Amino acid sequence: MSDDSFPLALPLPRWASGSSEVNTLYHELRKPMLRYLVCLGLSEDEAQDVVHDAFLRLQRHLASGGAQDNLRGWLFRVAHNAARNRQSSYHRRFAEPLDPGADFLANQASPEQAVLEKERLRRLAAALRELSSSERECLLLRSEGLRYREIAEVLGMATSSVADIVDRAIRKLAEKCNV
Amino acid sequence: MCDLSQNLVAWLDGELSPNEAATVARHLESCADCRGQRDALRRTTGDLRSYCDFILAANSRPRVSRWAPALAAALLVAAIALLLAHPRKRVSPSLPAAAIPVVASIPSPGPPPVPASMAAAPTHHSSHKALTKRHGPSAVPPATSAASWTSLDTEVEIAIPADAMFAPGVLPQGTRFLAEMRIASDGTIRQVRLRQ
Repeated sequence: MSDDSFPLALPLPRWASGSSEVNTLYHELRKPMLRYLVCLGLSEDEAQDVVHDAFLRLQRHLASGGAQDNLRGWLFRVAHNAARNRQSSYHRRFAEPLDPGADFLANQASPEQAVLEKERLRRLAAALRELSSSERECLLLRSEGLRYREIAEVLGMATSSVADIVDRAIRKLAEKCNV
Repeated sequence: MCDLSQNLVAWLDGELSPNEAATVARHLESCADCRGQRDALRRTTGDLRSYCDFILAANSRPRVSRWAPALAAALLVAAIALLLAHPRKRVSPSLPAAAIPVVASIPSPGPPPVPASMAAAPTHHSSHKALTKRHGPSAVPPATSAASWTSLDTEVEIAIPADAMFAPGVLPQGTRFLAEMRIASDGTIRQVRLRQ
């Protein structure tokens, strides 16, 4: 899915036309942040609210002379904490079975491929549900391209711990999905 | 299992130092088992990204605004309320003409007589001009059928072409009048007003 076809089109906020740094981060991280939040269980509306709020807080953070290193990790941490405050949504995502819809399956080359893809995603969703929350969060953040040190910043843990958790979690998934 | 296989995930993620990464890359050239693990880890990583894309797409399908049903319901209720608050019947003059016992009170020259009960609770129609063009008592139109609405205690409005009341040429062609009648529950007409 390209950025151009991204369905969660947000109107360009006020702050996106101000600071070039915030503007760049917004265009770079808007979609990964939304995807991470939705994968955590937030609805589209909730995710958009959280992303907007995170960028508003970033603007205040920078305006007040806050630290400018690892802003990607900073933004994801704000968004992650906001998502965890919505515990009901968070637990809802992984309590529900995955049911790929017709729109998604229609993109597959053939009906057989669609069935195989659906089965792979079902197996992956089932394996994800069996992970601990920290394992799941580490993998989801890794999927959005965050480095281990950035994941450590988001989740408030040591970088070495992130490396161990990612290694363990992805191997669990691979074991259950590549059978 | 090779000792180096424990570095495969970090190697895939680019988290190893250049020296460590080079060591893993050399090992992979000679170890089919680690290559198999690498492929499986890559595949799972790709599947996880597909899963995240799917979850996002599934939550972002075009949909009707969440306010649309409430807005539609509110508009429907408002329309019904308007209809109930302003019951009005418009009767075509082509209805069969018949004499009705109209006690027409065409105001002349003062304001139209308004019963006390109506004066106490005026409707918005009470502000209408009683008669925009008055041509003597003959301006009162011949009565039309009141068969089906004599039981209404509300207003009835009848559109009357001017040609039905005046000689041709007296008024511009196409001029129409509206006759408003207030009909009491006992069937008598309390008030008739003409307006253009």
